[in-house]
Amino acid sequence: MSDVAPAPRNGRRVDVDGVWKAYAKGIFVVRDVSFVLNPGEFLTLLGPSGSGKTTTLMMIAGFETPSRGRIRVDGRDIAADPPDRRNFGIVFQGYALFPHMSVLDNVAFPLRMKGVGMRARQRRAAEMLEKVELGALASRRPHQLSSGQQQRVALARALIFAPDALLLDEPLGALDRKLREQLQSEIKAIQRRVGVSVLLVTHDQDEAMSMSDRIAVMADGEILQIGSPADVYLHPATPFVAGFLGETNLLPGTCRGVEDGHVVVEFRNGELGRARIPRFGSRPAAGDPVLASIRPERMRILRADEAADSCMEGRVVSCAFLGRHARYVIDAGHHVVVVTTAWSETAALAAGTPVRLGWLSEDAQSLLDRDGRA
Amino acid sequence: MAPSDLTATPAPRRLGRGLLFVACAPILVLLVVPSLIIVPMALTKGNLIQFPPIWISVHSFADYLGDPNWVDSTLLSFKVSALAVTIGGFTGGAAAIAMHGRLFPGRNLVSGLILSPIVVPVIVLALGDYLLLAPLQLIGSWVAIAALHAMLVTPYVFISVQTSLAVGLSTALVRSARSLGAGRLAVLRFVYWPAIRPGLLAGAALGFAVSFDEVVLALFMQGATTVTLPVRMFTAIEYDLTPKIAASASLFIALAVLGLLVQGLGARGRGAA
Amino acid sequence: MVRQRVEGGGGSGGAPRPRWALVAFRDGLWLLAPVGILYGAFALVPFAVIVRFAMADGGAPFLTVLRSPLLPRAAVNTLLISVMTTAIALVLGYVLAAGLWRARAGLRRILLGFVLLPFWTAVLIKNFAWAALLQDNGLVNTLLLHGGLTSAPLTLLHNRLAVVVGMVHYVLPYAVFPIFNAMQAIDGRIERAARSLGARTGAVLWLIVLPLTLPGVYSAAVLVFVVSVGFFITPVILGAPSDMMIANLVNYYVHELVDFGAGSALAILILAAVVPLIILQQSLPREGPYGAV
Repeated sequence: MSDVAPAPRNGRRVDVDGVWKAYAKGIFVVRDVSFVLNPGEFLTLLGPSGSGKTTTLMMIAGFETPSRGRIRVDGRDIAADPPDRRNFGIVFQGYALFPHMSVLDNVAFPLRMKGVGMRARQRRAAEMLEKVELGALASRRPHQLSSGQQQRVALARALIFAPDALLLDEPLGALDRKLREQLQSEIKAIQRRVGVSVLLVTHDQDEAMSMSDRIAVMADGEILQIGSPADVYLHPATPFVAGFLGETNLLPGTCRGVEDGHVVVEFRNGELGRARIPRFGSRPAAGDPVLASIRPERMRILRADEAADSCMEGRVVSCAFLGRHARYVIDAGHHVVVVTTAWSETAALAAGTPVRLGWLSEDAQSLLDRDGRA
Repeated sequence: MAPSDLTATPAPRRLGRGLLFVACAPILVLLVVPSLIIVPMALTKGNLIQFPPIWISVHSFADYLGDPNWVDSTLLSFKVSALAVTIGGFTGGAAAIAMHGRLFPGRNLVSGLILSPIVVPVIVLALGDYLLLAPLQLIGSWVAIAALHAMLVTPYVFISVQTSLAVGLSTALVRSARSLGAGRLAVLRFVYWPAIRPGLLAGAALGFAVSFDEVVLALFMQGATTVTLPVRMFTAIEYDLTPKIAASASLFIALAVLGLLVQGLGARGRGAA
Repeated sequence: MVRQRVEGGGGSGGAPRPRWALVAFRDGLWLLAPVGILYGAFALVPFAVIVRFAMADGGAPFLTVLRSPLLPRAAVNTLLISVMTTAIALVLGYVLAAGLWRARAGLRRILLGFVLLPFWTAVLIKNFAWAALLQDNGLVNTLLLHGGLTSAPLTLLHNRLAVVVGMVHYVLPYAVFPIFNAMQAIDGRIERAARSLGARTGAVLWLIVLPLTLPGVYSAAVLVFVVSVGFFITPVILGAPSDMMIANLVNYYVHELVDFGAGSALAILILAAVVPLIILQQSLPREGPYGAV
């Protein structure tokens, strides 16, 4: 962060402690989820649909009750508080603006609920709208606004009463990419300026990576890993996390030994390669099935004179030009490997060309293959 | 870590909801009590209508079934309603198919017109049809009554089939059938017919009840031998309140309960409610 | 029936939308013929006949009707009774609709059954049952006497009260469903948003639910009113002769006075009053003026 002054840190610490949620006997939607949302922090719950992330958010908000576990704000258990008494600002999918009220009345609503008099709350709401640059639209109805403007109204409404934290439930779900990116930076800018803690729920990993201080990757109701975007991207703890954040090659093989901080992997096609031992997650031992995770951008097609720590032989299957780069699919015996590399008209390889692939051991991450993904 | 012992809804919400249902209860009782007292009224031993009945006896049913006029009226009503539902099922169902997936200016107007018999005062229809059919010697024709009732049945069938189609048949399906070579009649037979069946059944059931219960049109159209059961009851109620009426009224209750069951089962089948 | 909102797709527009869009069954318009024939023969033609009778002698029947001493009474009765019925039915209907809305699936089905049973029961039967309940030795008076609330049986039958009771009983399902639909159309997230912003149940009902269901209430009101105006059976069975409503007056002209002209003129006057309301009811937006949020 290149801010000159440290960003303000507002809000209270939210502790989610061993929370479970079951909808019917034995069907657990959320399993033993624990994390801390620190004041001023931007934490994202990232996962595919059905991973329990929205349910977790709803439990924090008070719309669902945990079957087990505790949720605390600054140490105080909030289980007995109904949603209208929890001090969270929530932005729902679709923004849930009140269609029959003006933008100003929408933003003033929480103040009205707190008993603020009409003139005072309208003044404060107008100020808030100025802050998000919507002052001129105060008397419009929500349906007359664009998506981006509606989002800003929703944020203004959620922030005006100085909540303990901002909870965002997939607010950008249905929008196209350009608009999404624009709104992401808006959310981030507002958050930085106000300094409020944010809990974002999303399935979009680009979104998670670009906005978060920390990401909690969820699947099947469990948190698989919590860490900074760099941590989860470069040092995934499980194959799922590796595959979910961006694209990666997961090459199955057997651990043949650990030396020097690296695992030696014998791949299915017989070749040997090296990969780092995982920084998070369990260490493989000799004989364990492992997966070597190598991002396509770290996999290299070696020129005749080049060498690398680990190599593999293969043949080009296809090549796609994606603007930013070229994407090769290589058949390496038992493995299908994807390589992305800078595009060069003259050096483009045709299908069928034999190639040698190589990677640096630092760029490969070994992971225990618990689910037998091979 | 002790399991949380919280219940599903926080206390204030439960209280609010409880109050709501308490408020609904008397209204629901009000709605249902009249229908519920009919059969007990019919089971009275005396010759007076009273509720609660003093003794239990089935003589009122015997009176009812033993009176040829009343039995004739009952059979006539069934005949009329059966025909009315057949006609109404056809018109309403066809209209719903015609409107399926079709957007055009004035669509709401056409829908409104099809549904209008529900809201237009029946007395106007009754008068007009009386004046039209009297010179044609059609007063007293049970077929004429059935045709008029078909007008009342059509809107219910229309709504019911329209709902079936909206839920069960996408316009894409129809278009793909056409593109695969199905002609008009084939589309009707193989694509639309299976989709409208549940709606048709539900609409026909409701339409049957509407026709069977109808008084005003049947009153204006009645002839010496064409007196539907409701008309006979209407006249009897005005002049002579006997348990026989309650007995025949029980038939209506039975129909109502049957219809409700059919509708409930139909909704369960569609996964509605 | 959902009104189709035609929005030009966001941002850059595509080709202009054809006016005849989404035709599923291109040749299907002929399927409207059966309805057309049925309604044409038994509604339109009779209407023309009514007009002919009413316009006899240059419209003399209209004068007969307008000068009739019974008309003011019948008109006032109709208006008062319909307004009372509508008001009561709306209040009770709103409560019931809210109950249906809040109930979970199993309870909702039971409640629906309660609401629909009278819908399926013949109006004649319902009135008959009310007559039995409200008569001097009927159940209601018996309960009142036993409960010590009165010392002598109250006259609950053959008066305006009985007519209103009977009519409210009939129209209640008609009031419930438009309101219920309006409630269901409220996006659940809006209510959650309101709660998350500090609104308790009272505030949610008054500030969110009521305003958003108002279109449904208007729709129900017009529907119930129009249906009430046309009532015939209930005033006869539950009311006194002085409770005669407008439909009874038509019947009187036709069957007692055998004055078809006057009866027709009156029928046209009724239509003139009711049709604008019907058009109003059909054109009221079902989802409220805000579209989907």
